[in-house]
Amino acid sequence: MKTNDRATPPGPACAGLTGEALERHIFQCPSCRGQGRMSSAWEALRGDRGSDPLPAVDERFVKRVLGAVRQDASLRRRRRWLLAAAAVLLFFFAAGANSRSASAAPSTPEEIYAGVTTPSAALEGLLPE
Amino acid sequence: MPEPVAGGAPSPSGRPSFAAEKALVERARRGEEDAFAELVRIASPSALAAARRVTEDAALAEDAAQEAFLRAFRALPRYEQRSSFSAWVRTIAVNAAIDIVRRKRPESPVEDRPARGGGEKRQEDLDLLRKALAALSPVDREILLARELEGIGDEAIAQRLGLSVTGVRVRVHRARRKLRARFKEVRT
Repeated sequence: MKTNDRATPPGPACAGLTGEALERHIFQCPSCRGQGRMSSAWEALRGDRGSDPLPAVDERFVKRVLGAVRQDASLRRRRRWLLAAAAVLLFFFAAGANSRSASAAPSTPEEIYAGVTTPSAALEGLLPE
Repeated sequence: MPEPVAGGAPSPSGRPSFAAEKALVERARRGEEDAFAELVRIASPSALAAARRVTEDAALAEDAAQEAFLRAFRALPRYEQRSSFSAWVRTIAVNAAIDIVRRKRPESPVEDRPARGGGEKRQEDLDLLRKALAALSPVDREILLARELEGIGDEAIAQRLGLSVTGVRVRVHRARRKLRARFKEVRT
């Protein structure tokens, strides 16, 4: 596994300084001070200093996690079923609508033309004698 | 960062070897609950400890760690094992803990706090880091946490997040600059 360059103290301005000179520089230089604090914060977050030992395995927590995982898995399974059912319903609805419009629509160009040129009965009734 | 040792035998610290952990991950991927339970046993101490460092609260840390294991379980098919399972879950736990704290606690400016010493200063630095990380975009934060906590390289991060390696490097540079600026602002 490749490791990389983590944030390392101190800042570039105090490279090479040691002991009292380094302390004096850090006291005066906000940039190096900030860099040092940031590095120590990362170390603390990683637990590098070993100041707080790792807690023992808590079986209650393990059970809690497994319960949550089971619940999440069943929820996701149910959601998948609902989505699949919705997709099937949508498919049948679309297929039904399509077949209805296909049977109602005129099929030949002559029928289409006749439909356009023949006035409807409702319109006929509105025309004066 | 402690890493699993290569080979099949457990490490001297009692942690399982990388090969043993890999086998557990494979079994958990196939849906074996026992294997995932064993992974939770292996990774929960470090995930809980890291989450506790961020939240300073045992209950919130448990919530964050549980959320981390849930996210890890969902992401198992995509997990490439570039780092140990524990390191991976710890990174997710820290990320979840930052989100939980941001949701539950209104932020107070660190600069207003009185001067402290020793362990309290360490906690103050951690607090500042948490706030600085919370202010980053989710992707930038994930990249930085993967580098700093898991110790994985830019290529692996790029592959994990579907970004280019250059994109990852640019984001790391930008995120670190923001973090440095935040730490520089604080009076000591």
